[in-house]
Amino acid sequence: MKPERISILLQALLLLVTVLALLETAHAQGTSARQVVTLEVLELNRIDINMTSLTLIIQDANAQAGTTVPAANSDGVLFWMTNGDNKKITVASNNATPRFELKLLAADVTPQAGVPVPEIIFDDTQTRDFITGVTKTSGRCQIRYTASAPVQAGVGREMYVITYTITGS
Amino acid sequence: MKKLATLFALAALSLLFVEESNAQATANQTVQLTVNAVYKISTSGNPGALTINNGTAGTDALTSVSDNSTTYNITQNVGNTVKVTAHLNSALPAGYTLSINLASTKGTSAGTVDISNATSGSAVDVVTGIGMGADANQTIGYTFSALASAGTLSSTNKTVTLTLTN
Repeated sequence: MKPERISILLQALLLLVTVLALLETAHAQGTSARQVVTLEVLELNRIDINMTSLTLIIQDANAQAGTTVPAANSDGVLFWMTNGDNKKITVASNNATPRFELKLLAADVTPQAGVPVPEIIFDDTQTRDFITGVTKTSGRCQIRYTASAPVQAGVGREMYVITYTITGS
Repeated sequence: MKKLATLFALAALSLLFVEESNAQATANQTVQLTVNAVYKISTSGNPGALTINNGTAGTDALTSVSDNSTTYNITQNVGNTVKVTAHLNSALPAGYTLSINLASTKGTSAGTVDISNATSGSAVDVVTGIGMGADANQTIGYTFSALASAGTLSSTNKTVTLTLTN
């Protein structure tokens, strides 16, 4: 194509754009006015716990059975919310070689919010599933810890940091 | 000679009368004035993107976001029962809510109005009882909220039409 024709074509296009812009401006003020609103919801995952520390004390024993009586606590409540697909909640302990035994169970999970796994025993630092099939909603459950100790473990104290994570399944 | 002078004086006087008569001639024009019904509404532009990026563990309702950065102007001479309606080009999916709030000094704002399901056939009133005259630079507020159970929403444009009507 010759340069003159290209120039004429560009001028015609410029004129067309100008006319369209003028028409749009004229349209902007009339019986109606329009606005374009851009909406977006990002993927959000939130998890929280109402009790950041607790103590389990084993202080009783069954003489006939020769065992200590486990200590339990279910005061903690775990809350979560997700609007993403295919989520689960995992749990992990920082205690690689526990001296005593700590178990965890999710109780009273919000209906339709997720499926709890059977009771977990923290015997290493491995990350384990805690609630699977977490749906796009908010949920909560009771956190039930049970501590037990064989008599031969003796007396003492140990600490666990338990981490709950909402993540992709 | 005296008679001739009198005759000239009379002639001059009659010419003066003729001149006076011409000075009082009139011409009439009929000017017809009409003011048609005028409805004008405009906005200052588009609001910023409304992006929901926060929520609370244990709560299905995510943290809503708002925009009050745009304004509208109206001029109308039709009456004191004029109103502004609002509608979307298409309804929002369930679980997402877009509300609008138009300030007004010439009329009565309906406050925060849910327009999520207001389409062209079901526009909702956002300002009513607007008096004749102009109302300039009135704030348009948008609030966008969503439920976690509705999932995420990719960036979506919705056209909001504000209509000045009787």
